Amino acid sequence: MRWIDRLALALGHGLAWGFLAIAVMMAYEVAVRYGLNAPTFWAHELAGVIAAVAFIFGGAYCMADRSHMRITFLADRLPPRGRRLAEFVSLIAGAIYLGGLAVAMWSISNRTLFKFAADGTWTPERSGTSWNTPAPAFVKFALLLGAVLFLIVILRQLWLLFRPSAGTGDDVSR
Amino acid sequence: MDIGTLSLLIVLAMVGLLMIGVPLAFVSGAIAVVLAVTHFGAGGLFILGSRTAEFLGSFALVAVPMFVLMASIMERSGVARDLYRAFHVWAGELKGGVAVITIGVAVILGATTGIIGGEIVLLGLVALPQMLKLGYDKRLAIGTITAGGSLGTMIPPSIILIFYGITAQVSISHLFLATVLPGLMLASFYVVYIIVRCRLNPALGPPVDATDRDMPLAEKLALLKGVALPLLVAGSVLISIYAGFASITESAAVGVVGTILAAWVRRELSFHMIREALIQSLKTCGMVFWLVFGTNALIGVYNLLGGIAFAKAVLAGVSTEPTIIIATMILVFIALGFFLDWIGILFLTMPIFLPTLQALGYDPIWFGILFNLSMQIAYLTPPFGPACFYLKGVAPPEVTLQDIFAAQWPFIGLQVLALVLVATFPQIALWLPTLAYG
Repeated sequence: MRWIDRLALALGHGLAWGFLAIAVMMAYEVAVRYGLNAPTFWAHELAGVIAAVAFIFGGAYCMADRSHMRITFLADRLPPRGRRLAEFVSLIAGAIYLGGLAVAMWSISNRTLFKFAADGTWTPERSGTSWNTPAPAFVKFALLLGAVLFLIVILRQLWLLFRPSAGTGDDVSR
Repeated sequence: MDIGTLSLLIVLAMVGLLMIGVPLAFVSGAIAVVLAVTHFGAGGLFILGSRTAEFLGSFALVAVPMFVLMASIMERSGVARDLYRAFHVWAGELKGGVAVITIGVAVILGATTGIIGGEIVLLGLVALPQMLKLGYDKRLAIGTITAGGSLGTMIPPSIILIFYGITAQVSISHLFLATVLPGLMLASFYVVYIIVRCRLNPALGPPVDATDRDMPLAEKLALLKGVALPLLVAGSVLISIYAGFASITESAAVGVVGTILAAWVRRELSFHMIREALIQSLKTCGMVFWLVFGTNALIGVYNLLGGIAFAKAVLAGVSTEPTIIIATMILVFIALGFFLDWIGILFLTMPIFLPTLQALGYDPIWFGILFNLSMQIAYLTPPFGPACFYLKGVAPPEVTLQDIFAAQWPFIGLQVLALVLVATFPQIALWLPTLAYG
């Protein structure tokens, strides 16, 4: 199951380059707007989608990287068993949240992305700009995928907690 | 269960879970899911999803990774080190001079970053060893760095004000301008405090070495050359925002490109550096945004349960005197700051506070600056004082966390003074935006 952490980390590393792409795209937009008086129709919409997807998968990335913000000053003083219990509660809370969010996003995706007219044509929710892409529907679907990945990373850590060799819970005490 | 009891239970559950180390994103998110399912059935989950998706649709958010990226590239180049070196030779014979220079460098770095953390780490690596070597009082040196480094969100650009602007639906550039004077005022308080303490007891802050003092003027000026370009980039970003040449996101993105070019001119650019900076930005965004998703979901469900109306009524019941209500809000910020991060505080309290504020006829721009100042206090106050932990991570081993916490109190006092002043005289915040935008 280590592949799931690897997947979350690799996705994060890949999506991080999206930030550089956004910077270049926005700089290009400003340059052509002022230089050639010809603003692009795509830069803002594309930048918004790239950023949203990166934020979404950043959640699973931080979980695999164990860098979500938490207050550790009390938990660190607990005996090993108490720490394991605290860790267990954390992961259960995470699973409840991400599970709930995934269920919500599943039904929302059904209404916005997997939407078809009576004659079978695809009618996703669209951005309503001049470019009018299905960006909002895609972001919602990405949120579904991001929540599911995040959930699986949490479930793997739960499983690790109960592995016989997990003893001290040291690998979770960051 | 009536909403009062339910609210109390929510608060207790939040405090309990936070204290045992559950990530804040999970605490608020899990409570939101439980409340939604128990009160509205599985269909109640819809509000979680729709609020999160709606939030993600806000284009102003794209500015956040741009400012974070600009800061992390700046951090990875030697700009901070060179900046510190270029300025500390000007300290002369002034007692406490290096600490004063450190505050000055912190303000300049603050204009290049919109977050804290990186700045404190840099100053902790560069300025703290220097001050300790000169024989500075440990607490004075530590407090200078944590308080100075925290100015990163007080001096524009500021990620806090971007999120506040989105939440309160006010202009982020107005906020950026409104925070300038309060930020500089706070910095000047630190400077005056350092000078007065060192005047009273010169042993606290000995002057710099003679070699630095006697450096010829031409050499001192030459040191400035290396930092001119990055500072020019940071300055242009702010001018572009204030003058309205480009949107905040666009200005920040151009700043990223400019910072990369500056690093290239300084011969510091490498694939590795860019990659690390990008990953750092993704990590910061992952943390911050999921905190927003969780707290935003909780507030959405709480609102459906009539919680916000209830909390507003409680707030209104505190007093009929508007100033007391404002004071109560600020006290809530500070109290939450003892154990919550700014983003959690922002998204949990603003849906309740902002409508009340508007009903009382106060300016939300001014209130944003009060929030920003309150978060300066939150950065330093134990047990959850992020600034202290950032410094602990890079401080020499003889500097304990107890030392760091003990060093904060005088600086917290100065922050409270600044907060009281801006609360009493809103013009400190509002004068510049009124002047510029009418």
